[in-house]
Amino acid sequence: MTMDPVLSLRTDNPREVRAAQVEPPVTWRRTKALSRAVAVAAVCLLAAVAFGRVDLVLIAAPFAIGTAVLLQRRPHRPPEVRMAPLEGTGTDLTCAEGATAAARVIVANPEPVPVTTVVTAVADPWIDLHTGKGDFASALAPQSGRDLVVAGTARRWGEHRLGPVHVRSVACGGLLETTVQRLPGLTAWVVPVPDWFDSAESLPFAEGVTGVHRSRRGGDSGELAEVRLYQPGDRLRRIDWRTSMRTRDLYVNATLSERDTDVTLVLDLQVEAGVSGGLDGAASIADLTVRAAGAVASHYALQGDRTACVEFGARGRRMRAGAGRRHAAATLRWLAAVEIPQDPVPPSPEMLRRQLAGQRSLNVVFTPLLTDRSIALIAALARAGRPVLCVDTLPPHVSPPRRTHWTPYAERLWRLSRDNTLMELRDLGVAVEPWQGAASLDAVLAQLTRRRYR
Amino acid sequence: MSDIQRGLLQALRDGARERAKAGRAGGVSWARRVAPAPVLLRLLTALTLFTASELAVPPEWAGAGFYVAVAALLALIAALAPAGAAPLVAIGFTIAAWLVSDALDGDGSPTLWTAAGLACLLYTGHSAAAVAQRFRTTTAMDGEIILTWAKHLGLVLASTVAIALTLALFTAYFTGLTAGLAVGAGIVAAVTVIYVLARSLHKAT
Repeated sequence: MTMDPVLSLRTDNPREVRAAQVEPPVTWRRTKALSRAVAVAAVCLLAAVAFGRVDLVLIAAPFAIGTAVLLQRRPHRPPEVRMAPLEGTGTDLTCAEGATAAARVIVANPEPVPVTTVVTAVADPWIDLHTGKGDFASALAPQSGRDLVVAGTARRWGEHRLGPVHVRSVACGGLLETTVQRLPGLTAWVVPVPDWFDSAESLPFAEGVTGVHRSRRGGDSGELAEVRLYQPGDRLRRIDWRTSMRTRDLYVNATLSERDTDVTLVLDLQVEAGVSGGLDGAASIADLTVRAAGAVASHYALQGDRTACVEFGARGRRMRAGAGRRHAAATLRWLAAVEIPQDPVPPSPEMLRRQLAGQRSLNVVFTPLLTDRSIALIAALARAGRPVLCVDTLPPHVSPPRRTHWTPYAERLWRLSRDNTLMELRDLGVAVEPWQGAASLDAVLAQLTRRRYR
Repeated sequence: MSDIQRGLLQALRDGARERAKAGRAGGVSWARRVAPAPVLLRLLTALTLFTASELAVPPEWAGAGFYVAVAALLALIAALAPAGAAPLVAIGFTIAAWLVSDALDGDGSPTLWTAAGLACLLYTGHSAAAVAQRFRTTTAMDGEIILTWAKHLGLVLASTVAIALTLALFTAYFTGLTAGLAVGAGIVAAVTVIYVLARSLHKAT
């Protein structure tokens, strides 16, 4: 039978094709301690017989007695082990940055013999396993089960791995042990803890019929616009009786309608620079981008605005628009899956511009402004008349590694060139502001709103 | 110095600094995570094996630098690698030293109680190594494990002392039968051990 030549072609996968590895079944086996005890007892007894010495019988006695006592009852079936999140029964767990990522190793001992279970867990470098929660031994009573907790502090947002976990059981005082059982571990989704962001400014292009932003149009709400003379058609409950009594004319309180708006967050994920130090350390570009986007998205989504997220990077993921507490939590979970590949496919600014929502939504672009494509995208959005707020996410401490003595001068020239680019963007009507946490965007939002209603 | 050489030196310096920093961080991390129970078990293994090897030989041997160094080294290796062959080597060395010293130093034959002490020390070292063999120095241990081990050790040591007492009584009353008694006790014990082991290790179908 001839083989199809197509089958022998190399696949795209660089890993060689090989048979799937099957984990060997977990079984009990003797340890070197058992061999040692038997060897010492046997050699001493043989020597005692050969040389006729009582003292050698005495030396062999504890080894023989101890081994016989320990092996009186020995296990046959290995303990059953599985892994699950600390809460729930899924295959992955979610926690916040700086919080504890924890999983349960559920061990059941079916034998009428006490067993000691040794659990050795490893985790991502971003999960610091707690002392006594990653490498520990626990005694299991006969025919009982126990939940052993593997836990660590998640130091950075993202997709991390809690595991693999190696479980080995020891019985009969260390004379018998099981082979190592490897549990693959769980995926820990660590959602970013966003920087605190609060803005008192209204957004430009507020539309819709309900919301929290006051518009320039009159309407029925609580936002006071003016006190004016009564006109036919005004509602009676709007009459300002105090002013009417004072002026002897009928005055009403006119209010501004309240509107909501769309906020689209564009995350520039083309390049990563700087070394992330986790929650308490220095921030890289990705850290700053994710935490700033999380802060802005949470603020506006909880306020009631429809918030959407788009990746401007190799993966080009999108998060649908939505509002409310659940959407804010879903956005943080979406942000936890952000990653910047080492060799990304460059994204197309034109394609992204076409994908963005309506003309009237506020576009907040989180970018370190390190590539021409991101600058081209922002310029194209501004030229199309869309309100663009550019949040500079280049951390101030990030600088190129010093290679020669020309490096500082080259860096200075590069920074001057970057400042020129920022000025050109501001000339196009783009509000550019470095991310500095709470209320850092209020000034530029006020500029945008003023420009809109000028 | 060219730019390339300067860059290379800088990279080497940075690499060395990073390694030193990682080593220091690893040391600090180990010191923070170290668990007392496995360390004490290993310490007990080393101490008992070393004391046994010192007890097994006459005082003039026990004070000799070479002998002390070899005994300490073997005990130390047994404590550092309790899962390997090191404890067996240390126990074998002690028993060999006991036999050789007794053969060479015929007039000062050791007492039965010295042999009992030696047996207790060797078994303590062996059982401590057996318990500690799968625990790293950072493995947090349940107190129940130590308690079970201590109960077992106490039972075995008490049995050994009881056997020593019995043998001492026998040898006191029947001094002429010492060699015959040893042969008889040895054969009976060997048969018992083989029977118990064969029965307990027999795989039930």
